[in-house]
Amino acid sequence: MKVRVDREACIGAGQCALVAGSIFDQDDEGLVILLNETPGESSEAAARKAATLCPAKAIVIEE
Amino acid sequence: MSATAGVVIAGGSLAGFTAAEALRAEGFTGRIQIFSGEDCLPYNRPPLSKQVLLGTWEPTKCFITTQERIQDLKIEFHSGAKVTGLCSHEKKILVGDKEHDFDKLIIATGVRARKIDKSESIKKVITVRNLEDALNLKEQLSNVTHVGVIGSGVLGCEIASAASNSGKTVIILDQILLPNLPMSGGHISEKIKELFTENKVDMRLGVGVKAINEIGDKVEIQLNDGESIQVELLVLAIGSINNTEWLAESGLDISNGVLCDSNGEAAADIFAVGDVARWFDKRSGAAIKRENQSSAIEQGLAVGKYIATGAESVISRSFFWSEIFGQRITLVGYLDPKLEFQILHGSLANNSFVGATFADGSMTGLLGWNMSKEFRQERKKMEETVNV
Repeated sequence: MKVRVDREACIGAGQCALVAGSIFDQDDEGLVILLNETPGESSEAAARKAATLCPAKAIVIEE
Repeated sequence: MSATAGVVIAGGSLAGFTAAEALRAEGFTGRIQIFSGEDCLPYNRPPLSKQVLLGTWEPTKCFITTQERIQDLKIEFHSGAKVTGLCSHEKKILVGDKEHDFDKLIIATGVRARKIDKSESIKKVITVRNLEDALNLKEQLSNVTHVGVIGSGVLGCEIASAASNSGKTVIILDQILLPNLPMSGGHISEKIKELFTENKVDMRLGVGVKAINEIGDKVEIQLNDGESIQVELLVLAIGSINNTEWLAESGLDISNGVLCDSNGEAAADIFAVGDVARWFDKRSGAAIKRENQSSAIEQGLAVGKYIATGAESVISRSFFWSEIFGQRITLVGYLDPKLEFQILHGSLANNSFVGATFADGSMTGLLGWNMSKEFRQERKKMEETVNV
């Protein structure tokens, strides 16, 4: 799995960092920071959940 | 009932499509049909009154999926197919003059913008709910300088802010005395009002509208206090109406949206998700209508999972966000108007703060203003410490 984030679309809701803190963080403005582009199998479900919950649809999962 | 009827989803927006994706993610292999009244792919609504209106996004960026993905998921997506009736006993829906069987039905027909009687025929009086409306507003805005907005809720505030940012002279009108964002209990109303005043938007509150007339190429708004205001374009942001007329004969409780239990089930094999749904909420012990994006997503996920596996989900507290004059506001839970709003980080004066209301030591609602990270950290504590 490969994760991409669109910082221009990001609105800093923090949903991703809340449900998948090992993959996403926020900078000082609250915008998404991708910590791990290729999360392992154990984090894949969390990454998917983050992408679904993202209010700005700023997270793209490539299988 | 046909053995191959599968799941039918009435409505192809965020909640309905999320339910379809969740069904597949949870292992449902049966047939999934979506009937959408709109003519395009499912899209995300919040950017309509934000990035699309500001012109920073191409409208296609709002789409939440692609034709290829819909095919990969083996979802039969019918656009321009408005559902017009439901026969609960025979488990059939009506689309135009055609009947379709279902094993399970998910109602996701949403809400539409409320209008004011007799103003519907005036071309310069518009509402904003779907993509087409947003593009219409954007185009109309480019030809005018004086814009009126009726309604000081979140949509009215966002539209007024976008219009003002693009150099228009804006007046915002409402019957209520202070602007009020959803779930905020009025705690930041003064702050929002200041924001509009600083940005030179004329905010006329506490006054009702008596009539709206077309005068030449202008729109005249007659107020209850006798005054008349003329604008070139008038946007109505005065709330919504449930798209439940098609359920009138269904036997479902549609007194205020479709009443559901805490799993989104309205009747045997019939579910509802998104803005049109009113789910029983275990936290408050009452059925509540949420009408926000994060709840639409979570309800879609929950119903998809429930139908596919029988597992129940707990829906998070309502989460809501807005951007008004560049100020990023995030809110989770419910700020009680009767409780003190306590500042946890930053300060109101610096336009950067996180605040909350507490009842018996537990946080009931949390608001962030240009402080996303601290907001999220407090939110995490809130989810961990309060029983769900």
